Amino acid sequence: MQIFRFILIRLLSMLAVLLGAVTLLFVVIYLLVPGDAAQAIQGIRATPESLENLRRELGLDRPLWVQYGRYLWRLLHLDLGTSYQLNRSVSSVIGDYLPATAYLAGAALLLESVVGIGWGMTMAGRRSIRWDTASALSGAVLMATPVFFLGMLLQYIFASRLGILPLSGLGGYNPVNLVLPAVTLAAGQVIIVGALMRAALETEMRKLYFLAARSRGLTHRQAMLRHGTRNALGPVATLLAVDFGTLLGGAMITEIVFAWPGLGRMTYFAAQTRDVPLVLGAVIVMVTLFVVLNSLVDILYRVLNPRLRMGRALDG
Amino acid sequence: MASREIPPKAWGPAPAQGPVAGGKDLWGRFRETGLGPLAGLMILAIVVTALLVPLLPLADPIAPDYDQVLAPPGSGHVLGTDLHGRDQLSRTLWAARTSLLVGLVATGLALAAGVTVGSAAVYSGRFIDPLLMRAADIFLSFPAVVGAVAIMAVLGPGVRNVFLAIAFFGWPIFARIFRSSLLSTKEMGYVKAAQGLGAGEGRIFFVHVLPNSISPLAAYSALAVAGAILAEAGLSFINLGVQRPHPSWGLMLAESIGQFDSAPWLAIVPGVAVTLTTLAFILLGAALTRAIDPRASRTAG
Repeated sequence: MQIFRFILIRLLSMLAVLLGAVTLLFVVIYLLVPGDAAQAIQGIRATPESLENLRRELGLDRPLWVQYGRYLWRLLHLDLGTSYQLNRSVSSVIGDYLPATAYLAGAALLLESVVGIGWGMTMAGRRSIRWDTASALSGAVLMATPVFFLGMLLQYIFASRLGILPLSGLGGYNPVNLVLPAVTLAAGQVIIVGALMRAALETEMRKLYFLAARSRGLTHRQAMLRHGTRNALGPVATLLAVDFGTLLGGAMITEIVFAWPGLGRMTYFAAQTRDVPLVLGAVIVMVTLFVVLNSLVDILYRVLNPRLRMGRALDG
Repeated sequence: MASREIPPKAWGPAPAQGPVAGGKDLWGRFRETGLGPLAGLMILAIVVTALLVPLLPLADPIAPDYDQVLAPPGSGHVLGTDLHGRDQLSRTLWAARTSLLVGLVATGLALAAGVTVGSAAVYSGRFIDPLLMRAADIFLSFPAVVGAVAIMAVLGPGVRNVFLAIAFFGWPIFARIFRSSLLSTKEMGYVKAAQGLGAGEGRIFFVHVLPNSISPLAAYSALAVAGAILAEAGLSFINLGVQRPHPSWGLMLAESIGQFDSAPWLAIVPGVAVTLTTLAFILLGAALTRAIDPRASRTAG
């Protein structure tokens, strides 16, 4: 029964965080935006009467708590408002751009799991200061390189100079077009996945079952592949799932560099034209995906891992 | 739960077995790989250069000179000139000031807010604590740049807004680290001993708890400065940060788009500058993690 209690509490706290996040956005928009939505929509064409009319139409003349109530009510009905610039419903605009982002984020996730886990397994158990220093330094360099600089370098080398990969664009979902943006997006994260995989494997290697496997005659390598890896993958899988949420939202700069028609690049154009409903809608979608994924991973991890299932139902 | 910026855990605790660094003191562990002192020297050089920029005999970083457009590095301009004939060396060095300023101020703001909320959470009792920590969760539910972009879209571009946008979503990790550090320090034997010896609440907090709780923040602060420098470059790159014609590394890279074939120095100079500066702070953070937490004596990676 404990597991159901855990799931229930986890889902409730997910809803609380989502409510908090949309409330935070509401507060930020209403307290910080100079002028109001009516002004933003009409711009320089505005006259005092037309502004007054539009305000009444949008409900901006009502008290703040009424506006907040309406905002939540519309969100509950998946109504994210209308874009100022495109004059279309925000949810349909987002629906157009989300697939390209999910495609890119999925590819980057695959890349970072394969390379990160492979690297972690190679490095695990090698204890020499020189190796550590070299890998820490190369990892830090990858993390320190801004994605747009890395993207531009890769474009220059592989598209302009060698001409073996396309410069940019989705190319009608052609996998060749995916290579450079996915590498760019995954580069910084590979290090984190690798480091965690290595640390997790080294923890497993110190456990009794590993020693038992060795004493049954398995080589270190066999014990690692057959037993250690399987147990070390748990925390790594959690990190990867959380990363997928980050990648969905964090692909913005990569998408801009590679002219990738995804959610991030769309949000960027919306921010340039200060199309507040569109930016707000996109941010709400990204936050929701991120929070929901995190909660699902937490729940799955707990359900799939019997050792945790019996333990304390609630921590963090 | 959220993997904003650089999760400190991924860097540090690969709980080492055996006395790899055991017995070494703080400084010994800091310089163990040699990367710590290297980071220190790099940061010293960058900070001193940034401070000296106004005194150096550099060309005007803003005024265009259309007789000198796209001059390659070497001849008269050590690092070449850009599309408006402005000296790249001068622009790169002036941009270092903006970059460091944003990194330090944004991190300082986030640190101050985080320490305040963290201590409030620990010392204000069992009702306020969960509320504050859930508030931190809410701020952490915004993936990486997304929150900062939303704030910049609302506030409008500009350096001051960059500080605010970065700090606005940066404080919760400081609050969490400081809170858990305070909680574990409070239970330490030496704190109990001080209580047993009759020391007052205030004395215990300032002499024993605070100094011993603050160190985990040092390592994360260095990483946060790196994150803020990258965020500033990113926001300026997408036109939401520092505005033309002022120099910023991100903006210089944005202006170099389409010129890579004919004038590669336009992208490489500012690109290398951001990377090296960020690298210095990441290495410092890694070395501090290693120094402060002896169990993490082996930097994973």
